[in-house]
Amino acid sequence: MTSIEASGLSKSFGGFVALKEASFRYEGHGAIGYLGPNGAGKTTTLKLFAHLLRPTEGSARINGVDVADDPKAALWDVGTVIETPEPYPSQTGEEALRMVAEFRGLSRSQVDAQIRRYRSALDLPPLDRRTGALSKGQRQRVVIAAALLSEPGILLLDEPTSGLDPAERVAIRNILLELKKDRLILMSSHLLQEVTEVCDRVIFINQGRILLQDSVAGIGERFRVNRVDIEFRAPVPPQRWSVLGNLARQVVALDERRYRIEFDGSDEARAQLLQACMRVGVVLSFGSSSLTLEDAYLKLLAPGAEPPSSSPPRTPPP
Amino acid sequence: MTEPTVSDLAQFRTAVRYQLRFFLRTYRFLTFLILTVILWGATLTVQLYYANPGAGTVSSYLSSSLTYVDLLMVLVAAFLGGDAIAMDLGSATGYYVLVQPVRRRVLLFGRYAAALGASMIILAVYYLAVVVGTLHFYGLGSVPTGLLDSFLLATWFTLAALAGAFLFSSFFKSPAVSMIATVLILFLGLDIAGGIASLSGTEPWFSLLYAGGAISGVMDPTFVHHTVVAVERFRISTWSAYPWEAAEIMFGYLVVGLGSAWAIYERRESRG
Repeated sequence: MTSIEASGLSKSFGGFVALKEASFRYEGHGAIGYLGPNGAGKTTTLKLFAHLLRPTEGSARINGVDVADDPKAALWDVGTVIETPEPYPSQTGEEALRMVAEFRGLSRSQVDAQIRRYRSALDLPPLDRRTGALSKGQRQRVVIAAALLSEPGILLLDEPTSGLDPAERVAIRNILLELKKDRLILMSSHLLQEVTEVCDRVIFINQGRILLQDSVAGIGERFRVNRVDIEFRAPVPPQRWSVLGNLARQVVALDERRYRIEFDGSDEARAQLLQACMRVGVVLSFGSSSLTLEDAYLKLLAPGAEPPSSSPPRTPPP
Repeated sequence: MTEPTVSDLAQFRTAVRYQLRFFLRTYRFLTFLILTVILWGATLTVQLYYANPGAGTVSSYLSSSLTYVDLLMVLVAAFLGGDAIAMDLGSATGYYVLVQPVRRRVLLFGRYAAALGASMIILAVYYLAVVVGTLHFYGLGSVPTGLLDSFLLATWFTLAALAGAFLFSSFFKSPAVSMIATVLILFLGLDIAGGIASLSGTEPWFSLLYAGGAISGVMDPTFVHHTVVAVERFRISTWSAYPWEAAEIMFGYLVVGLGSAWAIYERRESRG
């Protein structure tokens, strides 16, 4: 069974600690989103798994093999897109793909079949053109195809849709949704909507430390915060909000008549909130929405924020 | 989970093939090929119109024709090997290549072999031109077997120069800086250091360029290892390396250069 495991994984550059004792283990299949602001340690973690960096302490293991000890064996079943890789500029797209395929032991017929497959699936640019002459997005698609060419069981992706246009992003997202059915994907991304749609589980990291790891659905449960969007017939004077008392955690005006109210996430609290709002003004609509990943991200990474109680890492469901 | 099914040797062959293709497509390779032909043409022109080579011996003709081979090959090595490692660590190419399940030593020696292949094309063209010139001036059967010794020494020299270039390449992140530094150190630095050593009466055994002098020296019928010229109260020494001595110096560069480059490349990180 495929697996990736970080065990007390740390990396320092001189006195700067880029990653501090990161530990997680995932096996089987599914997609794990790796989230955090710039400089949080996401790319450092992925580079440690790809043998581009060496750990200061701890280990990164892929399929049970320590990457630092035997990178060839560890990376054999891994497709990687980290930073913005570029094949040799003088190579054609096809040569760039064939070189990777030969390194990974694919036969000529297998390579031909795979190139045909991804040419249409990823809408690859003309492969007889030199990669140095391709646009960033075109080159990125060639690089993604190279990562998928040998059908690896594990994918390490660092903002894989960076530099792609919306249509290309949708194409990649659909491929990832298909791939995660029988592969393990660890992907960092700033696009939280993308992570929400693709990933089953999420790891939050900031300042080199893992803050939280859980399923996407479990994130909302942990924060136990719900919110409603409410529309009144007329603007609400500020003093009228005192009617809500302690029922609302926060009220944010979306426009003149529409407001977003955060409250503790029980059904009873929501019912009480509706009754209270009807005393505030004439309610035209009252709709509830659960916490989004973006909200969790902002709450978790807000200055001075305390991470909610953490549970030990769990394996994604089969 | 799967085990690697491709041997290091098979991956080495892949690395050589694609890297050689890369080198042969670069403007620097084409430039050196053209430069080689121009250098030979200029030498031939001088010999034809000013030196009357037919009047001298074939050995002296060959010795003068091969005088600049070491300098040419140092430049070739610097420009083909100077960025061999830096290109991985200073550009995004590393993120494409180094994440593959290939041992770094396989990549390193693959690139070294490819750089040697490309360099040997230039060297072979130069020697071929020299042979053509020899046949032109001295007729069929005039090419001495000593020319083969010279060619073997030049090949050995190229191996050493490339090893030096790979070593300097491992120090730098920028391919351009790496190539420039390699040229400055191998070409100018060693030349100046060798000159200073000679002036102080010390044999410049540490200089690759000193060893490279044997490539033409092996054809020189008037070869002298050490001469001293007295100018007023100064005594100026001039040294020429014996072929066996030159081969030893080159071997030292090969082992130290390539060994150190290997050790550094295995440890270098892509921090970019």
